[in-house]
Amino acid sequence: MASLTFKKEQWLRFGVIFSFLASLPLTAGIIARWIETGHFPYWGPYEVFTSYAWGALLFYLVVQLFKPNLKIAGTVVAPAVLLMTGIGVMSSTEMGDIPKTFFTYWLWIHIFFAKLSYGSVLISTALALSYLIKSRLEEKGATNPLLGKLPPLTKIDHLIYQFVAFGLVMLGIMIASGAVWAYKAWGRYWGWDPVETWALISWLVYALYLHLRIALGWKGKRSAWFAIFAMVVVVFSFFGIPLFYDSIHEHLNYLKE
Amino acid sequence: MGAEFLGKLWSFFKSRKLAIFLIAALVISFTLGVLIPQAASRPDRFSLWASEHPFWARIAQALSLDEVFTSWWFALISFFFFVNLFACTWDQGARAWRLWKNRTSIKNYPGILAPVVIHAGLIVVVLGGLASAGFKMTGYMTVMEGEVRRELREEYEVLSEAPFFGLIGHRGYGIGLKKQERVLDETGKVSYIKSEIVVLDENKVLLEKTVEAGSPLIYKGLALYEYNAGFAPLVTITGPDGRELYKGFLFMQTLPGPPETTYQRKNFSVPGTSFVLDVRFYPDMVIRGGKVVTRKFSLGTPGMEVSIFQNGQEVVKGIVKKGEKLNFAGNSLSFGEVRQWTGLEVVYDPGAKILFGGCVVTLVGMALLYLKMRGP
Repeated sequence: MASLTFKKEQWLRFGVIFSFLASLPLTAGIIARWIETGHFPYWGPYEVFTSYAWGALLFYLVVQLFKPNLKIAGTVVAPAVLLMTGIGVMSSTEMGDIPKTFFTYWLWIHIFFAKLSYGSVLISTALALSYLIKSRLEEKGATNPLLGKLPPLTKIDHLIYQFVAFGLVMLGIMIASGAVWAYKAWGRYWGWDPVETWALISWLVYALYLHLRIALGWKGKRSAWFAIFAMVVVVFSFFGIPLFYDSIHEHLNYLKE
Repeated sequence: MGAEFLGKLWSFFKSRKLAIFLIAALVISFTLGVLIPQAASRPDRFSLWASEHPFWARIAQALSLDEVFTSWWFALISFFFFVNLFACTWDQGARAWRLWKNRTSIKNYPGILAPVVIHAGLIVVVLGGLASAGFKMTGYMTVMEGEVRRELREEYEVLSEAPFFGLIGHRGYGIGLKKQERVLDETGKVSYIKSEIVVLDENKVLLEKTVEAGSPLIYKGLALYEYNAGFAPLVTITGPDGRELYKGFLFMQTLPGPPETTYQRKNFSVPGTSFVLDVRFYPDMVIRGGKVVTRKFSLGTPGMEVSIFQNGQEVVKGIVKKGEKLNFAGNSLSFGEVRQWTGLEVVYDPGAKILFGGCVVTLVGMALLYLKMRGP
């Protein structure tokens, strides 16, 4: 963010280095909590927020290995990680009793793909914002050395498309594994639970993005704005739904406590 | 004229614009179904919301927004969505077949095939959902140690059958509870309960499995889930003349802590009498200084704290141990045998496997689409 603010291109690589350094204590914290509780951290506000922060940061770092020119995505991912870690650390760290139905490998699959989907949502949002800023600057004829280093607009547009498609696949696996888990735990694969219904809404919104792009040729700015809208929909299932509705996703019922 | 009309109709249904419209309509419907309290699933929540927002509640009721998922307009959208999905898949499949036959675009073939696979998978998902809606059965029955219940309509305490379940019918298998075990956590509280369930055909054991929360017994599509479990003392109430007024197993509900797991039954109206019982059951009762101090969860020396009410007034409150009597108003209450019971949720859902198969096909298609994405 400093490199973007002060237009110092050479600082950009420090963003990735600092992200990597930040991932070390975060990973250590996750492992320590895992050992302490005997399960992967996903229960209660501290575990939910820190593990999502860890997942998003790890996803960002993995993306850097394959797409090194996407360092600027850190300007969205890093503040989101900081925010989630902060909320997690400042909330209750109490260890709750986990129902027996939560001890199944289907849950691990469900959670793992949830992290991947949210990671790809953050990256696609970062790319969408970059697209909008870069296109606006180009229209004005203004230059920014950092944004100049970004791939061309058509390439960014395609990367948004790829990350949205990746997010759609990950969300799909998350929903399907959740359905299998529910069937094994309670004998029903779908219960119109607010969180699961909202996950389906998120999936449909992502599907809508792809259909609009393929069938109606929505590309460029419209596509970028739609990717940002899709992120808002996904984030609402994370922060909004547990605030207003009772859910069988007990580990998310933290905002009412 | 007829052919022309059918052609137009087909073009309408296979239209991608229609698909976009219907996906958007589904998104809006689901959103309304989540944001507006649904009277069908949560009547209490809807009543509260309606009392706070009477104007909006009237509008919601007028437009069936309080029962989105069972409304006529949602059924209509879903129907159009399914027809559109089928038509698009057919069209895409026919195109893919033509390309395959002509050996053109072979290089990009996985990318061409991907939407067909995704949409075909979604059709299977919808068919699985329809199979569940048409043929699913869910029931609840309790099984005590030493008894065999049969998987028949009259044996269920609660039963819900889909409209066409009658075509399949109940299996009539015998279901028995062989053994029950409480697994304690490191603090000594009950962590979960294991029930050893047997499925019988006459006297032949077809399957035997230990069921626990999240781990059902499944035999030929019939799934038995452990819903709850507990103890059932055989309670006897005797009148002043020594006549037996009531004798029956009293099912104690298991209520997990904190601070500890308790077994109790409140407001039990004793059949054939005017008495109402509040009972807390201790599987292994130890009394020190007139207070119950035990916190064991396995059967040892069982005892009960009993309050007996008549016409809303408490007649007696006391402790009774196995083989002892609690006297009240010339009557007496005692209990002898104690058995364990398991409450089973029995589910038969032929649509589940179809739906999961459809999910796998869809995900394979999505992975194919993602891997074959071409650059800008």
